[in-house]
Amino acid sequence: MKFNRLIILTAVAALGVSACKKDYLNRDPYGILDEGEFFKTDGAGLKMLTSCYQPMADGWGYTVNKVAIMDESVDNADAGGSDPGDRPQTTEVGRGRPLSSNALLNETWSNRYRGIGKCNQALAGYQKEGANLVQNGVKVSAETLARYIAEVKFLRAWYYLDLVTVFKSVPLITAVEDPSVRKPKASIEELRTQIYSDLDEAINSPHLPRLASMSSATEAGRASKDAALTIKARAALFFAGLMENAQMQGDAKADYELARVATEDVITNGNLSLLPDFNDLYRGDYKVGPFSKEVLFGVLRNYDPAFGMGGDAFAIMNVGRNNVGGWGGNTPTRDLASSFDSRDPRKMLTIISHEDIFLASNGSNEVHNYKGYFNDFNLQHSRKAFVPQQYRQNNDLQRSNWQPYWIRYAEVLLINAEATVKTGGSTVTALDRLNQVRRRAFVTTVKKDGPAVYRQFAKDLKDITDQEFNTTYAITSSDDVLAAIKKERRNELALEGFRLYDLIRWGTYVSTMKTFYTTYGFADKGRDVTDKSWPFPIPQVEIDRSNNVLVQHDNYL
Amino acid sequence: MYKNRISITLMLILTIGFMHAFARGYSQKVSLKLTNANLKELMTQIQKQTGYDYLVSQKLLNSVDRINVNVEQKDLEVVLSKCFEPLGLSFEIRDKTIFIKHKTQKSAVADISTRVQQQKISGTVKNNQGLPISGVTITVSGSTAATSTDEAGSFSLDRVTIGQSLSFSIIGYLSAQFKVQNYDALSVVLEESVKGLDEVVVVGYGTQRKRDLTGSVEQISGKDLKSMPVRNATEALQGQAAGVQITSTGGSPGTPPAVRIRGIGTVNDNNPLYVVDGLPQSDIGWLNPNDILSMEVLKDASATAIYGSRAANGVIMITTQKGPQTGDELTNLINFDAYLGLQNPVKVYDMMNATEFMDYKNLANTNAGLPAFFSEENKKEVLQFLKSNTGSTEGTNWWKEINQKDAVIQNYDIAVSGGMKNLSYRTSLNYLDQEGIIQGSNYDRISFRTNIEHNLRSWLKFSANIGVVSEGRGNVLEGSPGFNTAFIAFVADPISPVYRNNLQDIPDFLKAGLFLDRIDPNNPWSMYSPILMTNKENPVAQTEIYKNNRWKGKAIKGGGSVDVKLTDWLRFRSNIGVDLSTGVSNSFTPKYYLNGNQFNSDATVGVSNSKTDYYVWENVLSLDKRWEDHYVTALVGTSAEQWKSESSGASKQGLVSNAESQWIIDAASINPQASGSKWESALNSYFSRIFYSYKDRYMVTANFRYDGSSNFGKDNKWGAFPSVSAGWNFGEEGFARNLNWLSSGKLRASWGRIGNQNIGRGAYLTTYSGNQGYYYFGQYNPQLSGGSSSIGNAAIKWEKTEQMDVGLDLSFLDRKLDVTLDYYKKTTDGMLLNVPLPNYLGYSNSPWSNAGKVENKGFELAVKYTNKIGEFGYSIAANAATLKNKVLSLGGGEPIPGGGWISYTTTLTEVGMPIGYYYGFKTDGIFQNQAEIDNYVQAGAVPGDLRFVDINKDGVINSSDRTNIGDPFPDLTYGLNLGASYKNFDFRVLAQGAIGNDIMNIVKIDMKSGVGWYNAPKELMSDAWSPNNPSNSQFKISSSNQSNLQISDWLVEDGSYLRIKSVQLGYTLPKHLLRSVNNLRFWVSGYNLFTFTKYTGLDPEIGSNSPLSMGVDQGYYPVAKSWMFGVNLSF
Repeated sequence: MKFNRLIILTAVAALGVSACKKDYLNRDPYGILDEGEFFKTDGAGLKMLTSCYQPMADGWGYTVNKVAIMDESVDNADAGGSDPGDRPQTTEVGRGRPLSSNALLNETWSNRYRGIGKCNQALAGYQKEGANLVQNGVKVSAETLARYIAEVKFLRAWYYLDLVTVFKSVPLITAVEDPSVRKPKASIEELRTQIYSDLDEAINSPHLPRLASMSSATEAGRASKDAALTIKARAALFFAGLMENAQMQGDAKADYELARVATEDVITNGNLSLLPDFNDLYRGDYKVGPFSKEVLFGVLRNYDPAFGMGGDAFAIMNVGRNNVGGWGGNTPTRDLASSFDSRDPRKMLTIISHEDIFLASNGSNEVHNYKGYFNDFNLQHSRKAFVPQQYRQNNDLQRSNWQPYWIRYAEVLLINAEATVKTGGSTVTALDRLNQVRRRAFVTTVKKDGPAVYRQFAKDLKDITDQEFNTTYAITSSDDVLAAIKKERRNELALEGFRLYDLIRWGTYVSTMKTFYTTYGFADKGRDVTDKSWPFPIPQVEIDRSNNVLVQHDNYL
Repeated sequence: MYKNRISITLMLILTIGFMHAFARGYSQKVSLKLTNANLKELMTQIQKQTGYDYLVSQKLLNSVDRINVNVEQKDLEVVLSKCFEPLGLSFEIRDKTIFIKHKTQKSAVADISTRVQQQKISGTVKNNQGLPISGVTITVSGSTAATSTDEAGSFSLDRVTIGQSLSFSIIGYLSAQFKVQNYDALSVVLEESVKGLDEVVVVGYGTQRKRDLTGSVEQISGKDLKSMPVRNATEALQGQAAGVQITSTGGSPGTPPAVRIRGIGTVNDNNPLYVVDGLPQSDIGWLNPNDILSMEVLKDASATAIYGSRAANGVIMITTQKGPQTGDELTNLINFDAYLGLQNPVKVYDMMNATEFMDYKNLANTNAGLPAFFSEENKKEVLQFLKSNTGSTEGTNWWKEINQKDAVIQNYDIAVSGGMKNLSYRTSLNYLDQEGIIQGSNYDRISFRTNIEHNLRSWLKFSANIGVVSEGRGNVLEGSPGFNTAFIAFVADPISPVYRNNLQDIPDFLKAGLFLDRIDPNNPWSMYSPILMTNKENPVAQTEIYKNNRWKGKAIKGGGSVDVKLTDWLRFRSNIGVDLSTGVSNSFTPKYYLNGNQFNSDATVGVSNSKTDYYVWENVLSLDKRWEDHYVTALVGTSAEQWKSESSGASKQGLVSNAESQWIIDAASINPQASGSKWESALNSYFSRIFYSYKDRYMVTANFRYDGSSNFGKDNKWGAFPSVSAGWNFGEEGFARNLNWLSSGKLRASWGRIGNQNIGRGAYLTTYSGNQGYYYFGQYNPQLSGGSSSIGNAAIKWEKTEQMDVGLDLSFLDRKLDVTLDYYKKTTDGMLLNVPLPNYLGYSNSPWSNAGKVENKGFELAVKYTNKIGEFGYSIAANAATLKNKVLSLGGGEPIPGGGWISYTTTLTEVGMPIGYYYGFKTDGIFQNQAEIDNYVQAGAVPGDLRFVDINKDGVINSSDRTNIGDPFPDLTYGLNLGASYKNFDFRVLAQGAIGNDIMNIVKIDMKSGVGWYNAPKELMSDAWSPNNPSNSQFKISSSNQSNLQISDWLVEDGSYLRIKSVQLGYTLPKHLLRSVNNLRFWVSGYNLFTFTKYTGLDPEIGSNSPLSMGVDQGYYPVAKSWMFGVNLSF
C-alpha cells in the first residue's frame, strides 16, 4: 500500500516537473511587433508617414479644437452647444483668463505634441531603417524616402506653429527622447529657427513635389512644396507681428520679406488659382473644393465604415440643434455678421441665420430653429460647417464628406498682399492680390446658396459686374490698404481657424476683445482680456509632470 | 482491516471540525506505544483503532499528560485501566463511548435510583438541515446520567424524571436544553455554532483550528448570507466583517459590488482574490449563495501570504456545502428554498412638472438678460398639448416611464445531499431571476453544483466538484456620466412626450424639433419623441433599444483532487481546477432617427463571443504531527495557473427590416465589421507554511511563497513573499485560568509581504503596430498608418505590500461574549503605476513603473454576544473598522487627476493625501450684493454667484486655488447583526453604515446648475438665491451660470449613513405538525428598508471600481429596496 502511494506521488511529481517547462511564463501578447520586425513589414515607411498626418484627423482634438481656439474664443463666434455647461472650456478661453487646467488648451497641447512625437519617431525610424524599407515588395528608393522626410518636416513645423500661436513658447522636442527626459520651454526665437529650418528643408528638398504636379486622385491631402511655402509665410507673418509688438526679438521686416518671397514663389510657380465660385468650397458636397487648385492642404473625409472612416465631429458639433439635428456648437457672433459688406455673398456663405430655410432631402423645407440652447443670443450658425441634407448619406450628419481646408490659395494671396505692404513693396501688386480675392467673392461667386430655399443674408445680394466691382468694391490705393487686407482676411477666412492668430500678430487682440465685451457682453466673452491673457497658460498637468523643469508663463503665475 | 478503514477524524476536522469521531463496531483490542503522550493523543489512538468515541472535559483533556503505554492487541478496558489508574482517572464505556472523569468525582453513570417515576426517554438529534448528529452528549440535570447519540443521531436515557432538563451539547453546535414533559420521543435540532476554539477555519491550502490561528481571519457562516435578494454573495457580506467594505457600484442586477479589504493599496486593481473550494476566482457573482457553507476573509499578511502574488487585496475563501459522511446506510435530505421579492427604488428625485419647468427655464433666461423662452402663449399651448395627449398638464415623468414598478426577484433552490461512511455528495440547482427597477435590466442565472467525496482506501480520498452556470443580463446604459439611463430619466424635460405619433395640438414652436417627417409608419422605433429641451436621449427609447443587447455567459467551474495519506502525519494532495467560461453578447440597434442626439442611420446587428479557459494545478505535501507538548504542521506545494482567452466580434448593417426575426448577421446587407483578440497569461508558484505550537499556548507560523508571473519581463518574473506570525493563548496560562469570567484569550502579531501583478499584459515590451487606422490620401484612398504603439518598461516588477497586524481575541462568560480587536498597517510599495509622462514627449502611452507607495492603517473590532434565556435566544454581533489611507510617494510623478464626470477633474491622488481625495475650489457662501463683490477678488462675479476662496491669497481666483475639498474614505465603517429566536420564531436585523466620508454629488452640476437646460428638482426654485431669498447654499438661476459650475465643495456632502440592510422574521412550523417533513420555515424579509443619512442624492452608498473616482455620485442606477417572502423546506 505504501508502495502504491509512493507510485502516485512519484508520478504526480514527475508530471509536475515536466509541466512547468522553462517557457511556461513566457506569454508575450499576440498581434504586436517589435521595432525590428515592424520596419521589415511591407509599407512600414509610408505607414509611419501616415501616422504623422493622423493627429489632424482627430475631429475633436484637431478640427473642433482649432476652430474653437481660433474663432470661438475671439470675436468671430461663441462656443454655443447645448447649454453653458457644454464644453465650457471654450467660453472660458473666450473670457480671456483661462485656468491652466483648461481642457481646450490641454487638448491643443496634447494633440499637437502627439503629432510632433509621431514626426520625431518617423524621422528616427527613417534614419535607422530607411535603407531597408520596402513598399509593395520593392525596396523604397532614396527619392521616395527623401519625400517622406520632407513631408514629416513640414508636418512637424505645422504642429509647432499651431502651438506657438496659442502658447508662444513651448518645449522644443526634435528627437525621440528617453521617457525620463524633462524639457523646459524653448524661447520663441528658438522655435522660430526650428520651424523655419524644418520648412526650408521641406521646401528645398527636390523630392517634395509641387501641388500642381501631384495627382489629385492619389495624392490629394499630402504636403506639397506650395503648402510648405505657405506655412512658412504664415509663420513668418506671425513672428513678424510678434516682433513688431515687442513680443519677441528680431527684425520684423525681414520676416515679412520671408513671407512675401515664399508666397510670391507659390503665386508665380505654383500654377494655382481661386475657384471662381466661392459656393464650390462650402456648398456641402465637397466634390470640387478638396481637389481644386485653390485648396493646398486639408484633411480629406469620407464615410467608409469598411475602413473605419467616419465623418468629422465638426460636421455634427457645429450645426444647429433642434430640427437641424446638430449639437449647436460654434455660433457666429453678431459682430462677425456686421463686419461683412451687405453685398458680400460671403456673409451668406459664412453665416446661417435663425429661420433660414434649406431644402430637406424629402423635398420639404427645413426651417432652421436656433432657439432654446446656448445660441439664443447670436441665433446664427456657420454655413462653412453645414452640410445640407442632400449631401449626407442617409441624412446623417456624421456621414458627409465635410472637411476642413487648412490652406487655401486665397490665404496665399492675402499673405502676399500684407507682406508686400509691410515690406514697402508695390501697392499695385498688393492691391492686385487683395482684389483677386474680393473679385472672386463679389463678381464670380453665384449669389445664391444652392441648397437653400430662403437665406436672410441673400436679400441684399445682387449680381455685380466687373465694372461695378472696380468702381465700388475693389480696394484702391486711396484706401487704407492694410486695414482692407485685415478686414478681407476676417471675411474670407472666417471660422476657418485664423482669427486669434491674426489678432495676436496684429497686436489688436486686447483692444478688439475689450470693445467686443463692452458692445455685447454675452457670456462675458472678452471680460477678462488684458495684455496678460496671451500667451495662454501651459496646461498645469504638463508642468506637474515635468518635475518643475517646465514652468508656467509669467503672465499666468 | 486497516485497509478498509477511513481516516474519518481527519476528514471531519478538515470539513466541519468535530473533535469527536463516531463509534463503530470495530475491534475492541488495541495496540498502543506511546511515551509521554497527552490524554488527547491517547484517546485519538484508541478512537482510531476502536472507533469508540470518548467524552472528557476540555480541562481534563488539556491537563493530563505523561502517559506511557506499550501494549499489543490488549483488551481496551484493560489498557484504559492501566493507563488511568496512575493518573487518578476513571472511565466507563457506554454506547461505544468512553466517559472519562476524575476518580474523585461521582461515577460517570448515574447511580441507580429507586424513584418510581423514572422512565426511559429516547429521541434523535439532528442539525438544522435535518442530518443526524452523532456524538452529542446528553446530560440530565440534577443527575450524573449521561449518554451520547449514535450515528443515526439517536439516543436513549433511562431513569429520567418529568421536570428534569436534558442538556444536549457537542462541539460545533450551540447547546440546547429541554425540559422533560412526557416520555414521547424527542426530536432535537441543534444549531451550528461558530464558537469555540476548536472550531476549524479554512485557510490557504488547508484548515486550522481557530485556537491555532496566528493571523487575522474572519469567518462568516453561509447561513448569515442567505435570504437576501442578492445575486452575489459578496453583497450579503456587507456589514458582517470588520474592515471589509462593500459598496454597490450601481443598482442594476448583476453589477458586481466593489469589495475592499483593509482599504485601497493601489490605484490599480483592488479586488480581493476569491478561492472557491480551492479554485481561485476574481469574482463570485456566478456562485449560488445558498451553496456556501462558510466564507473566510483572510485579512492580514500572515493569512494571505500563502497566496502571495494575488493576495495584496486580501483573500476570501469560500467553502461550499458537502453531504454528510455518516452512517452505514445511505441517508439523504432534500432541501427546497424559495423566495419571491418585490423591488422598488430606495429614493427618487422629485423633479419639476411641465409648468414648473417652463417657469424655471424662463427665469433662467430672464436672469441672464435674455428674453423668456416660453411666452405666456407658448405656455398655454404646451399645457394644452400635454392635456390633449396625456390627459394631464403635468408633463412626462420620465422616471415613471422607465421604472419597472415592483420589480420581481425570484429565487428557487433545490439541494439534494446524501452520504454514508466513505461517500458523500451534494447537488444543488438554483434559478434566480431578477428584474431591474429600470426596464430591460434584468438578470437571470441557472446554476448547478455537485460536490462528491469518496474515500477509496483508508489512505486515499477522492473529491470532485463541478459547477455549471448560465447567466443572462439585459443592458441599460450605465456608467456613462451624464448620459446613463437613470440620470437622463431625471433631467430630460417634462414637455417632451414619450411618443410623437398621433400627437394633437402640437404648438408651432415645438413642431420642427419633433422631426415628425422622420416617423416611419412601419417602424415602431421611429415613434419615440426626441427630447426637445436638452441634449439627452429619450429614456424610454434608450431603454427599449438597449434591452436588445443581451449578454449571456456560460461557465463550467470544477475540480478534482486526490488526498494520499502517506503516513499518519504526512499527506499529499494534488488538485486540478478548471474554469471554462464563454460569453456571448448579442446586439441589435434599429434604424431610427429621433433627432441629432439620438439616431442610427443603419440598423445594425452584432455579436461578440469570448472564451477564457483557466487551469490550475496544485500539489501539496503536508505534515501534521504532535508529540507531547509540541505540535507542528507544515506544508510545501507548487501551483501552476494558466489563462488562455480569445474573443471575436462581428457586426453588419443594413437590415432590410427591424423585425426581430432579422436580428442575425446574415440578414444584414452592408458594412461587415470584424474584430478579434487573443491573450494568454500564466503564474507558477512554490509555497510553504510551517506552524508550530507549544502546549497549545505559544504558536508561530511562517509562510513563504515564490511566484513567477508572465506579466513581467524575463528578469523580473519572480517575486518572493514571506510572512511570519506568532500567537499566545494566554487564556490558558495559569494566571488566566483562575479568572472565571475569561474563557479564552489570545494575542496575535504578524508581519508579511504580499504581491500584486495585475497590470496590462506585455507592459514590459515596447511595441510597434502596422495597423493603426487609416487616413485618406487622394480621392479617398485609405492609407494605413503604423509605427510605435506602446513603450514598455522592461524593468517592471511585482508590486509589494507589507502588512503588520496585532490582534487580540478574547472570549468571556463561557464563550457567550467574543471580542476580537486588530490593528494593522499595510504599506504598498512599488505600486504599479502608469506614471503619466508629459504629453510633450510625444508618446502614445505612459509606461508602467513601480512608482508609488500607499499606506493603509486602522483598527478593527468585532464583538459578538450570544445567549439563551429559556426559550428566548438572542445574539448581538457588531463590528467596526477605522481606516486611514495615505499616499506616501508617487515615485516623483505628479499628482494623478481622476475623472468621474465628462471632462472635469474631480479627484487628485498626491503624496501625503488619501488616494482620490476630492479636488476643487472651496466656496464661502454666495455673493449677496455688489458691494461684497467689489470688496473681493473674484473676477466677473455677480450677486447670486458662489464665492470661491482665494486659497493661496494671491488676489486672483484661478486653478491654483483648488484644494482638498473632501475625503471619500470613511473614518469608521460598521455593521450590526442582531438575531433573536423565541419558540418557533426567529428574527434578524442587519444594519451597516459609514461615518465621516464625503460624497461628491456631481449630478448637481447638471441637475442644480440653474441654467434651465436640464429638468431640476422641484425645490430648486425655492432654494435658489434671489435678491429676496438670500441663500448661501444654492446659487442663482441663470442660463449663463457658467462660473458656478466648477468642481467645488458646493458638490461635496457628508456621506455618513446608517442603513437597515436586512430585517427578517421567520417561523418554523412545530415538529408535531409535520410528518415526513423534516423542517418547514416561512420567512418574510425587508432589504434596504431604511437609510438614515444627510446626503441629498439618491443613495449614500457609492462605490467605484476605480479608486480615482470613489464616492463620486454620477447619477448611478438607483439601489433597490425589497420585500421578500420565502420558504425553507427540508425532507
